[in-house]
Amino acid sequence: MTRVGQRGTLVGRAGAFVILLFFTTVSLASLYLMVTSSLTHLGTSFELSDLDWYPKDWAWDNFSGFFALTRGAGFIWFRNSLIVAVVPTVFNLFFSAMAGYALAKIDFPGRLAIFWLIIAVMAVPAFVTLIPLYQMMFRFAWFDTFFALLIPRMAGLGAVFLFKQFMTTLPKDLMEAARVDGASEWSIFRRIVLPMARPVLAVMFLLDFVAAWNDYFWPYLVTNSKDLMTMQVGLISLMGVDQGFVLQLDYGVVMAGAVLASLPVIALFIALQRHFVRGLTIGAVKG
Amino acid sequence: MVFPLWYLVGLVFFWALVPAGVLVGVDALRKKRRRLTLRHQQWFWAYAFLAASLAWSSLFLFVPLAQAVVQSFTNLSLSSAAATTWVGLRNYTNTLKDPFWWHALFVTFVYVVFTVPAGILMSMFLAVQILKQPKPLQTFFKAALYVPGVVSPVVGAAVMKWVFHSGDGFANALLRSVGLPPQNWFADPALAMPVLIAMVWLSANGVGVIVYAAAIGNIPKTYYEVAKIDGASPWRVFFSVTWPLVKPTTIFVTITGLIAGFQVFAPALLITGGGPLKTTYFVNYHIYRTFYYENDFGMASTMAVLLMAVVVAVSVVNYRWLATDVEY
Repeated sequence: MTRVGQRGTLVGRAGAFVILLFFTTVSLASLYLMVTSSLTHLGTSFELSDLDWYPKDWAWDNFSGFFALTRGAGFIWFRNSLIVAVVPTVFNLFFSAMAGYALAKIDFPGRLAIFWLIIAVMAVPAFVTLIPLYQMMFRFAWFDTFFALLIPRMAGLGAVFLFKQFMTTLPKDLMEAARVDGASEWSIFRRIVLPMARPVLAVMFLLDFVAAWNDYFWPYLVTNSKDLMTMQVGLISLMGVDQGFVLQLDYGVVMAGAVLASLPVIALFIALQRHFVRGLTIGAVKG
Repeated sequence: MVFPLWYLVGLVFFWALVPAGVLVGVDALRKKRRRLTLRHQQWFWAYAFLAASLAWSSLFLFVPLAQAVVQSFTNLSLSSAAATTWVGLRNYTNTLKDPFWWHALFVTFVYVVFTVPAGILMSMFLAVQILKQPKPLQTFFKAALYVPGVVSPVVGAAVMKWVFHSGDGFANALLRSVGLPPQNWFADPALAMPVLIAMVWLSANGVGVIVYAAAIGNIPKTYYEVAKIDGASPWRVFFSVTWPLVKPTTIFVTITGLIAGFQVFAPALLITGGGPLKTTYFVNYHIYRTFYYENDFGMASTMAVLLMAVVVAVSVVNYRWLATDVEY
């Protein structure tokens, strides 16, 4: 633990490598198992010998089996998940970047109060607001419509913190120079700040997209009709909730659905990986 | 359906104009100058930029939060025919008398105690190991430890249900292949919770690892060289150099971990159904059942407010305890 500064002896480094290899193997094992079994004919009961280290029978028909099992609804689930994950995220990034800029670079009374408000609301458990929000969806007649899935996510305080932390690190000179030249705050934000914020925009897009794509409880709560189901709600409908036992399902087919539900987030993570490590550490390393 | 959108429009205009207007008005009166200075214009810009965030959080966060607190003092329920009235503290006393509430709180505490500190220590340990590797490997390990975390709880539950199926699951197939008797896993009261906790231990907390790797990597090497010259033991170096210097990160990881830990819900809903014998009956699951199945919104709101109190109290205590010697 101590040789941080100089990376340690060869033996220490090799030991560390083995430890890391173990944990990465374990943590990737579930994904690996999911992918392998999605490409294997498993049926409802199986033996370990049915499964191999590689997809034994390349059972691509598990994927067509998934769409058959859902009677074609799988496409609609996937489309709905994409809409729910992309549309509100784009709005949220735009509004949160604006808010973050104001908190980081404009001097105004109330700034500190709003900043502390953002910190404080992090401790509010989702379930506290969930019950009134559920009632609100009925009052607004948004229950079982796309409004309930899209509108509440389009802005908020959750993403503002990271934007504020990032924009505090931007040099003030450029903005001051632009202000002296008579540029409005809007054009400073649009022409100078937004282009410089590209890395944090990439990270926030990833985090917000993943959060929306993976969200299962809100869509499960506020939608009923089949053509509003997202990928997660669809998988839940296959698996069942509130029960400790497992239905007898063709696991190969269910895992094919699970792969489809994971593909976009993993692909996006790999695509934006470059920005990622830096973006995640903005808020957390310095208090 | 479209009408409520006007609430949002109204709130955006309210937040864009009213606070800045009031502030500028007060400032102008105090300074006895009628002119709008550049400074005042900036105030208007600031609130205009914040307007959407504040409008949305007003409608979808602050109003529901207030409503939850208010209706925790009522008997609002869809399942009873009685008219909704104020019941004072009755929901609170009923909750404190409810054995399931205390049981759920206990189960949640057990889960938090066994997962949060272990998760933090693990992240720190793995971050130190990662920093010993050459740069390209560092990137690989960080990514490999993070990726499983982007997969949804539903997918995770689907995989877990299959791996730990009490009949033909993967885990049982493994046990059989080495000649051990198969287990009931999530159907066994003695195993359900330990398996959930073990899964948290084995799946490293990717965010924690990345954040700690950055924090520890930022510590100037000279500190370690000085400690070495002074002949400090490895543990001494860790407790005198590394630990205090990554304190802000520890606070961040602890508080976010506690807040998430107390809200554990997905395993109960998707895998165990709170069972077997209520051994995985978490607080959030109790709230969900009260609200979704019994439709007792008053009681459910009360429990949610109490959970919030617990989360805030535990966070504040931990912050006080951890932040004793932090300098920002």
